[in-house]
Amino acid sequence: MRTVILRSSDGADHIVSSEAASLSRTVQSLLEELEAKEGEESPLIVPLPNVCDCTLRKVLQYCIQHTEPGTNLTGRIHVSETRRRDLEVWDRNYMLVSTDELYHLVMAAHYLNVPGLLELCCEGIANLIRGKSPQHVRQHFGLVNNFEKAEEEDIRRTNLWALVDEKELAKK
Amino acid sequence: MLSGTKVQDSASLETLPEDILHLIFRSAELHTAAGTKERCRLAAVCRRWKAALYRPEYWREIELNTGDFKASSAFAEGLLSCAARAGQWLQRVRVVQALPGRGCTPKVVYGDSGTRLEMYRGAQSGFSAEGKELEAWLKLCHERVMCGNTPPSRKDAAWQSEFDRIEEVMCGKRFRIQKPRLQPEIMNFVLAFGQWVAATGSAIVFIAGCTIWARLIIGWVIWPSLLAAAFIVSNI
Repeated sequence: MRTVILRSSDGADHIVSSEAASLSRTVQSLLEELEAKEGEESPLIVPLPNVCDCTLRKVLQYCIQHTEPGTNLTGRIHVSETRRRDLEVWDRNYMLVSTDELYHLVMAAHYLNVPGLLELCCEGIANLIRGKSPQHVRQHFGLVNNFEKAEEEDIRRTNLWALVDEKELAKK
Repeated sequence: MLSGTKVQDSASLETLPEDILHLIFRSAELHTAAGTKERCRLAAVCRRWKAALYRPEYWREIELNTGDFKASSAFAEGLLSCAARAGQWLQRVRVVQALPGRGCTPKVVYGDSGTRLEMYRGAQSGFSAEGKELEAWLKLCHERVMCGNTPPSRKDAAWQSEFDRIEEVMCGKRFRIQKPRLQPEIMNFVLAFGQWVAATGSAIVFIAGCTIWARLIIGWVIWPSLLAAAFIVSNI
């Protein structure tokens, strides 16, 4: 198995198997280019200027976990039922990160084009926003309400049925 | 704590690209009927989120071109069969009033079953009741489709043929239901013809009136006056 060196934006090198690195389609295409240029003998160094060391480490954790024996490159399609369940548990624990980390992770997954990780991150964020009021979401994610007064009033009037808290309604 | 990507130093979901937001919303199943309430809530968060939520990819549109907003049983049957064939909840129904000369201010309403109704009508009066009626029919569609029941038999032959025709264009995201007797072209023609008849009629009445008055004046005023004048002159 060939190893490759992934270099983060802050210059830290991470040595991984080409199999794990190839979970990222961006890296995979870069590897193909490098292989064509430099041949199969020299070590392959892939610079990733948009991903910092910490985020890259976290992404690589995912890639290594999902390329361990019994897992194929595309993720979970042909894995055994036990392995699949183990991976699900691992994924759940993996997603126990702060909102800030989640944000950086989703950006990195998008840039590196790791479909499984991107999906996992999106699910994580979706779980965080589900069932929350707009104010709560804004507060939680530090979003700014940039609607104009009239626009906001219009949205409020149109979506009143959805914006009214069910618990409050039940109390009334 | 991760220090983040180089591109973005301050982490905020507000700065996420729209395609990632789109993926997040898909994960939350906000594009489905069940996610409608959630979607309405999240659309009120900020402009970016609203734009990402209402990307056209989410929506299967039905445009109803009708001169009449009244939801009839045939109308409901039609929607029902459409919903069954589409195999999904009709999430957005745009109702366009075909009568010419009306404004096009859309009125958007979310119903209890999660339908987004866009009603295009200049006058807002009476909208609510009609919207509710339409919504009730759509809810019925939804329930039947979701329960996997077959749609009820269609009694109206005209509608039956209409919906058979619609199937051909249902692969697209947007299709149109037009009630045959209320097609806008026909309505326009009927109105134009009516205007022409009215104008011609007025002109004929005006000419006839003028003629009658002229004859009256000539017969009863001018000729007697001339005769009287001639009689007086001859006697002098």
